[in-house]
Amino acid sequence: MIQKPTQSPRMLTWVLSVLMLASWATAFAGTFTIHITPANSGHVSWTTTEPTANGTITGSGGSFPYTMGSQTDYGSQIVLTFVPNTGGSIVKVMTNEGDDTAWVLAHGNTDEWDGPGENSKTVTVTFSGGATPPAADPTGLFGFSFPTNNALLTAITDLSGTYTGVTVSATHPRHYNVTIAQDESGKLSGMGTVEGIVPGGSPSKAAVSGPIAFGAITTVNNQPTAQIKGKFVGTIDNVATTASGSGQGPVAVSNNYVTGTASIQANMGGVPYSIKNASLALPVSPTAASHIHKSWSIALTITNTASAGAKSSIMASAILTLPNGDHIAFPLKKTKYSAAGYSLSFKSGTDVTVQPNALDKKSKVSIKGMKLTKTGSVWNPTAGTISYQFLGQKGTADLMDFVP
Amino acid sequence: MNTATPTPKRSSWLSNAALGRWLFGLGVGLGVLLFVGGLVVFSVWVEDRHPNDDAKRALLPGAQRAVTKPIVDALSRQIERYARRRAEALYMHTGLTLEETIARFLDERVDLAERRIYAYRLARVGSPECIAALLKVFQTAPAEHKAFMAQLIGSTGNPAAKEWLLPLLNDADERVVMAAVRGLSAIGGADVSALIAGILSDQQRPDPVRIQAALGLGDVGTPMARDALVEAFNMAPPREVATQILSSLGKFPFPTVADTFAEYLAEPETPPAMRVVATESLAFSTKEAVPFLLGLAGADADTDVRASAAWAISAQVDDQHLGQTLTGLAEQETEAYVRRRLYEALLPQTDIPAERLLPMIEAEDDVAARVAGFNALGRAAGLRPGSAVAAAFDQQIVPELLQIATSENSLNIQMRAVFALRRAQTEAAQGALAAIARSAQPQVAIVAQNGLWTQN
Repeated sequence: MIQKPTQSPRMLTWVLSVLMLASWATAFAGTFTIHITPANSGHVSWTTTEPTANGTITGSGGSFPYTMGSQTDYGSQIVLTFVPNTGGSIVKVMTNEGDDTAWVLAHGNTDEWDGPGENSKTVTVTFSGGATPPAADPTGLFGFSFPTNNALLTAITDLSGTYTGVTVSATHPRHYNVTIAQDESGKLSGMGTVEGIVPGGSPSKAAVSGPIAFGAITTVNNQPTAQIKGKFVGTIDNVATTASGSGQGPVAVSNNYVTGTASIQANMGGVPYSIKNASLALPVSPTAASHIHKSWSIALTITNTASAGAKSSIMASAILTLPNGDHIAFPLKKTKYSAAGYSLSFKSGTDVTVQPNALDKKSKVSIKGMKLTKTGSVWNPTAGTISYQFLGQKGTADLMDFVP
Repeated sequence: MNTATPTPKRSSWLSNAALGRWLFGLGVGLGVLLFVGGLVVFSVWVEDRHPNDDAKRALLPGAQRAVTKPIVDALSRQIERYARRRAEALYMHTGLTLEETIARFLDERVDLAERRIYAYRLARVGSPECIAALLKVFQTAPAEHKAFMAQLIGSTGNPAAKEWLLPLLNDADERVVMAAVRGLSAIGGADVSALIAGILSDQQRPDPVRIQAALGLGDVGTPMARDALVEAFNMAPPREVATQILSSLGKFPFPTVADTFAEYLAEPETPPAMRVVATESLAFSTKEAVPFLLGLAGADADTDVRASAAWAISAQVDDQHLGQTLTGLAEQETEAYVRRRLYEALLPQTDIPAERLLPMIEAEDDVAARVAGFNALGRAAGLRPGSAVAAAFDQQIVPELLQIATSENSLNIQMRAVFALRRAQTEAAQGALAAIARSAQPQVAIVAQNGLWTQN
């Protein structure tokens, strides 16, 4: 199809008209930059109508974006309010358009701009006198979790659970079930049954509580290490036996086994024998491995208790969730933020899982050099060291490894 | 017709003379067998009831030393070999022949994490082919696997493995050095003790290596190893090293380390936390430590030391007649935490004075102490079925234990509540266990289920 040639000039005129109109109606956008001298001598509050926004500039200054409406909209407005610290006054207000001091002082310490305006303005306010308030301390809720997938960190292990399986033996495998309870000090108590092994005094019962097992978990060379001791009096395959033994090894599952060394002194059917430092490998099924808990976390709350007429203070509290699921609540304590960051120490908390709640003197967490920076209105940790001690074990790590 | 049946020819071995000789031989053989069997049984009985090395109980020490003791020793060695074979079954009985094991160990297509366990069998067998295979893999293995294999090789107890492990003590990787120390400690020997003692005292060595050396000397367990530990302890090592030295010293017979512990605990400069470490180390010492620990549990000014001493006593299961003494300590103790540990120390005892304990335990506010006390009473009820103690346990304690196990509480407390019921072995306790198995959270229910006489 061939277009009529007369249509082209008309179309061009129409396009140019639209472009000119659009240009005339386009909003001005820019940045308002405020300088405060000396720094921290006061603050500047700002409001804009397009868009509707407000904020406060503190310290040595800052900036905010604005849109000064359109050439057709004379209602848009920007207002700045200059507020010196208590006891201070405004000395001078300079803009890139000139000295506005007299205007500001005459209009309740405010300056304003109505549309239309120009892009990007700079305002410098000079205050004098007045007390300098302290910089705002970082506050908020901070959660830290032990990263269980980081093998380089010292884990705290809870073994509480029931372990079932078959003993490793080419000739005589035996079914067993052993339950381990681990307390807040890492002390272990165990009960269980092993096929063909009957403790003395209860030969007629199919399943009875077995040998007395006893032990503890401590941290040795940054590894949770179990040390266990036990005694058995009874029969093994109907042969009278007494045995006492001990074993130790790191609590780490490798290729479905926990390995360590064991020493046994026994008397089987009247024949004494002993084994020293024998290699020990206990099979650990995936189900059993799931009983070895290493996951724990601490939720930290830092608040400013400022209230009218009262001196403000920073308070910190924490809830520690142990690998065994117990929650330890550490009460509020006063703290302060310095150039070195927060230094917090939590101890003598209350185990709120135990009913009735009980004092827990064995769980301690300290965080040193915890520095924070503000992003928007949220404070985020940027550095620190955490030391933790509970369930009879302890470790130290970079706090940032614990940030989820 | 008279047909004569030919008389079968008597075979030569059934001739009268031969039969007589055969029967005579059999009789002699049986007689010898019976005599040897009888001698073995008699020797075992004599050495069990009247041990040759116990001057007060031995019947004829000289004769026992010459006859019965060697027989029992020979039996012991056989049982030890058998038990050790059982302990190393994982590594030795893999379903592969030795040739297959070597081939698999060398197969680089298989992840080294899977094939490294064969190092045990190869080191244990120690044939030239095995050694060659071990050398080949060892030369290129990353430090992590090298460390694993070094420890495994040492745990075979094969003295020939020392030759392999000694050079690793100077390996650049700390993990390999520590594994070599572990391996060598398992083998033991004066030469090993001297080397490891040198590492422990060497302040240039990193603390983790020195800690491992202290651990190793505790495993070696010889007087030489003990002296090395004491010497290193007296050189004021860093706290972490000192902690492990104390733990290792705690494994030695108490009379040989008593002075070291007594002096350290009495020194006013000893940090409180280290006094606790020293006390708890004695949990793994010999029964002679009990009087010392009882002294600490009853009179030390530090609550934590008293509690630790009580805990350490509970590991001393050889002396089972401390019930009255421990109960007396609990009666005078003001801290619930220490009483809890004293109740736990009652568990291995056979003379638990339940009547004295019951009102004290019923008055406990701390639930952990209360449940520990219930365990002691459960044990007492289990030792005396049908007694007044068992009846009181059923009436007063079983309902509370049932409630603790089935309502919200710490898992540790709930499990120990079930332990108390399992220890009691009364009908009411069994009823409570059945109820817990039905209604408690799974982790607690399974503990109760495993304590039922009938597993249905």
